[in-house]
Amino acid sequence: MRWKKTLTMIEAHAEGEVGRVVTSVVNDIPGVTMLEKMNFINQVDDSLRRFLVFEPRGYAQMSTNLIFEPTTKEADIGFIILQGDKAHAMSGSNSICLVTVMLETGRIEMKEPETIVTLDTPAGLVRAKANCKNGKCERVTLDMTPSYADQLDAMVNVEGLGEVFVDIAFGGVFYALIDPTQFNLKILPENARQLVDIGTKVHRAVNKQLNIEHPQFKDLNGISYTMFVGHDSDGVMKGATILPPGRIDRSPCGTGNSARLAVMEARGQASVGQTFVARSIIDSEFQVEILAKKTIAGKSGILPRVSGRGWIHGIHQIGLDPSDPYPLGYKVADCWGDAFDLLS
Amino acid sequence: MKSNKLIHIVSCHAEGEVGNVIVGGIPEPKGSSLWEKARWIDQDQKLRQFVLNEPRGGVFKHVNLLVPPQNPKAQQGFIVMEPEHTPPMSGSNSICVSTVLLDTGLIEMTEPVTEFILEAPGGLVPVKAYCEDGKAKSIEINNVASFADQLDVYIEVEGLGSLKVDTAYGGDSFVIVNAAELGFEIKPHEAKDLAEMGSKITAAANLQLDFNHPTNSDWRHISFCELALPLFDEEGVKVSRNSVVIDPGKLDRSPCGTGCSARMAVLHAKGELQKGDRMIGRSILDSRFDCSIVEETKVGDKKAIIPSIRGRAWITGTHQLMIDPEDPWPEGYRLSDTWPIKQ
Repeated sequence: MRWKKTLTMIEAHAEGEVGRVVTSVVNDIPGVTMLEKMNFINQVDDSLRRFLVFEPRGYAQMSTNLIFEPTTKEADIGFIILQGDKAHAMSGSNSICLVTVMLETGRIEMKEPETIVTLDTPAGLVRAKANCKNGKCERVTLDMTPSYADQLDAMVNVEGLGEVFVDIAFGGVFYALIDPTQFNLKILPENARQLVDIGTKVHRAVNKQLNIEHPQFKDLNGISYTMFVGHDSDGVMKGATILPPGRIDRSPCGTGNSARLAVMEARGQASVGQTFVARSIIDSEFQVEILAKKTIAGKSGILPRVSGRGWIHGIHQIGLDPSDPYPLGYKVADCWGDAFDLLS
Repeated sequence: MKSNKLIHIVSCHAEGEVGNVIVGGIPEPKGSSLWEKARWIDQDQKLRQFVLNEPRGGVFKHVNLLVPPQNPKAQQGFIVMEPEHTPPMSGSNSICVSTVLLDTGLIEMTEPVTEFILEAPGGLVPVKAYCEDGKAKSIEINNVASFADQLDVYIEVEGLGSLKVDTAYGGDSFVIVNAAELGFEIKPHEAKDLAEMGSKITAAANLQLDFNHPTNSDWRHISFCELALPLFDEEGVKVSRNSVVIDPGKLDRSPCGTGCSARMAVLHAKGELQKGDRMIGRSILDSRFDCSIVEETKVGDKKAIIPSIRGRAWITGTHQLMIDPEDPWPEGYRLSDTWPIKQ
């Protein structure tokens, strides 16, 4: 066995969504801040991302996280999320995986019953509170990005579907929230492919027909994801976020539920201090909460809080044989989906 | 970190198709033959679900379990676990297993050639490994006896009408169709359409055609659809560019060893390939297997061939799979977005 490159990963999932954490030191990503490091991966050299994320070493339905020494004194650990399209700044389920791995492998000392971990992300500092018992990180609570409802009941014309109504909201990135009853569809595992097909069509129509811009960050425009927002028969919130090029978040989705809470608050369906259960398509659960109201550049919004659980499920030494013809991997549309035009 | 299970895996791919190998941590499956052991794994489902389902697996991944050989001629037994089936044999997986055995020292490597015999549930598989500088550079296997079953028969496929197909066995059972007639060039941008079309054809073939293996009464279905372009020449050798749609609707990234064997059996039966002839298999990723017809033989009363398949594999990692006792999904989960529902 010969390898010219090897990295160690701890594999974990948060409420069903896989977030692998590379624990080897990666010191060849230049940048003074986490944002600069992320931009380097996205704009200069993404060979490490491709090596880790694509087949045969990676696959569509997961993320791989790189960790770094924090770039500010206030933070405990820095991290960047690698996915099939690019490196991303922030994700709820990946933050939960990261904190679980850091505490359960001793990289950050676990203090029972509660450990506070401050994450240095390209989107700024994120405070995570971990409930810990008998050496296990039992739950991670995250204070999410200020979120707001942008457009309620916006109508788009979708090819093959006609008029579709969506709510546009910001939860760290922009979402179009879709009520699946418009299509007589329930958020169930056997409907996953159909939900992806509809969400993909709506995604294209929204970005062509609606004007969506963040009041502070001018380069944040257009939606990144669509999310189906429904309820289970017991009244519990259920959601399915569609991730291009064609799959569903297995977790309830941290940023998606932040956007959803902002819309619920704007509609008078939720208020400060209220806690809800948010379920995913595989029936995993986050607890979500509106912590406070918050005005974002003149727009009325909220501070959301999201909590969930993570579990380690493996240790992985990933390697590259010097004669392997696929050092940058490959992706094939049968498993990855075919909406490559929606990758931002 | 808590775990009440620890399974050791070496991960590998052969010409793009992932075939990971469990090298430790699993008790020997029940059964007095390798075939019985494979049936036990298939019926029990626990190991299959643990290693194949999310979050540890995914539809793109095969996992092989090393087991002691039952036939005294063989050095190593293995059982292939594919997303839907626990098949008699697989070409890309036998190449991955051979590479892992040699590159990790489970079988001693002799350069430039190491020869040994693997035992698959479907029979013995002689291996000739070409080794250099401590690496198994390419693996040549002699596959199990392969035969054409029904030639130029018609099935009705929804949306396509009447479609001419061949059925054959090459270590697994295939319905083979002309990809060009369906408008395909076997290029990556067609992947999703190929997967959907192939699943539909496999489902139709299973409803309309019988498949019976003359000496293995357990294998009575057609596993895969092989969409193959008409043969063309490359440096004087016939090339089979194909895409095999693996149940429940995922493409083989390699040229598919059992698929190439099945096609050679059909071409042999139609008089287009003879004993000693070579054929290159090309996948949707352009990766390559070098194939040939080694011998003519019989399976029951059916004319058959012994095909050889040569390809390369590379180790991509080592894993320890674990399960937190509080993890709510000990057997994992599947979702129809990336794991199609079987038609």
